Amino acid sequence: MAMPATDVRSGAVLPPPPAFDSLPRRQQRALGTEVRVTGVGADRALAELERLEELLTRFHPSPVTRLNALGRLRPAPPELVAALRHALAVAADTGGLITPLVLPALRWAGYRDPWPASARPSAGPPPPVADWHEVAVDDDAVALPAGAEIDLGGTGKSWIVERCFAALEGEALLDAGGDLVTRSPGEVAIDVAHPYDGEPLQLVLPPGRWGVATSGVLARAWPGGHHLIDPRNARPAQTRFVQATALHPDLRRAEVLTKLALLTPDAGALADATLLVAFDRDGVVWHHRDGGDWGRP
Amino acid sequence: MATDTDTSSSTRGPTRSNAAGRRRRSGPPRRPVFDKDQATLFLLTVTLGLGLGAVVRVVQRAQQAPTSAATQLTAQRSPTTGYGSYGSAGNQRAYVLPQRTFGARGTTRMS
Repeated sequence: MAMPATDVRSGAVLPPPPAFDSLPRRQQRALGTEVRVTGVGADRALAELERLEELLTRFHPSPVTRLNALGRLRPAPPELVAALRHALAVAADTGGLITPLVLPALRWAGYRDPWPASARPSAGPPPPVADWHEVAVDDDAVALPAGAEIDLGGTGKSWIVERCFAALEGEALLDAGGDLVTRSPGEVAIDVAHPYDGEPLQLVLPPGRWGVATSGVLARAWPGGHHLIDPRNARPAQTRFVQATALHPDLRRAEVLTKLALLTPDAGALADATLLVAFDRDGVVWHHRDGGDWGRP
Repeated sequence: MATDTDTSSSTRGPTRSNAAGRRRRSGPPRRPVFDKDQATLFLLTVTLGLGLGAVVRVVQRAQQAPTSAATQLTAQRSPTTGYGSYGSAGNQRAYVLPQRTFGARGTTRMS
């Protein structure tokens, strides 16, 4: 039997931690979705999330919109520098498959305004996706290649959520529209929504800290397109799966894995997922196995 | 048998002696404090009440169990109830179950 925790200075026995259901809870609309926070520090976490969203959005005047309009920004806020460095690191790690330079192609495909918005594809061929190698980032300045614009949607949400989760103490959960971080001394169950509203799957997570991310091509979709751009042809990706869910200790990596599962499901880059499941277009579930292939349960 | 509409069982009439010298009470016959039908009804009520209470407690425990931390999930997890184990973290494994089995803390979905 575990010894009770004691105060290191007084030696007094500390009370047991509060039950999860009795922890502070907050909920509000942010990042274009419903955000739910449970845990001590929930108010701080939400305040930080709002602050970061204001800095990194492309839908309202922000450092990102100024950067996209001017092609360069000095001084650049440290949060933008950090978020962009993370996005570029992901681009490097994925061979450019996940890149922050998809905004012109995203607008061409129809995603111009905040969701939900009526999206209409443009006529003619899409503009090519600029080379991420040509983005220059210093500690306080950013410069983009000619004609390039950034959208941090591919990596930004998980980056923001991980930053905000640091404001929470002890047992906690931060859920940003289905991408979530959880920390618990015991096992935790997380439902996996079915893309066609069928019976959900359920993940059972070991004790500890986990990131769970889900990406798909049906939620932000419109006739002729959806929001996941394949930078290889600058068009909405043609995918084997309509939805992928990844479990990883770091939500940022979980988000990358879900997009890789959609864009390049047969690549070996998925090997570090603790768990990866996907739904195909018929609503059938597939599991990514250690050997690198996908199998039916 | 004469019925007594007076519900007070403590009401007594004056006593008189009969021919055998036994004292008898005048007034309506005393009702027994607790007759057989009432006793049966009482026992039945108590039994049903205890039974219902036990059922309620079992249901409450079942409803509370999924939201508790490790022990319930560990006790109920079995490779035959789900898709098997995938993924590991040290000596712990993560599982995918084919349907909602436990109380979930959240839902992951595409957005």
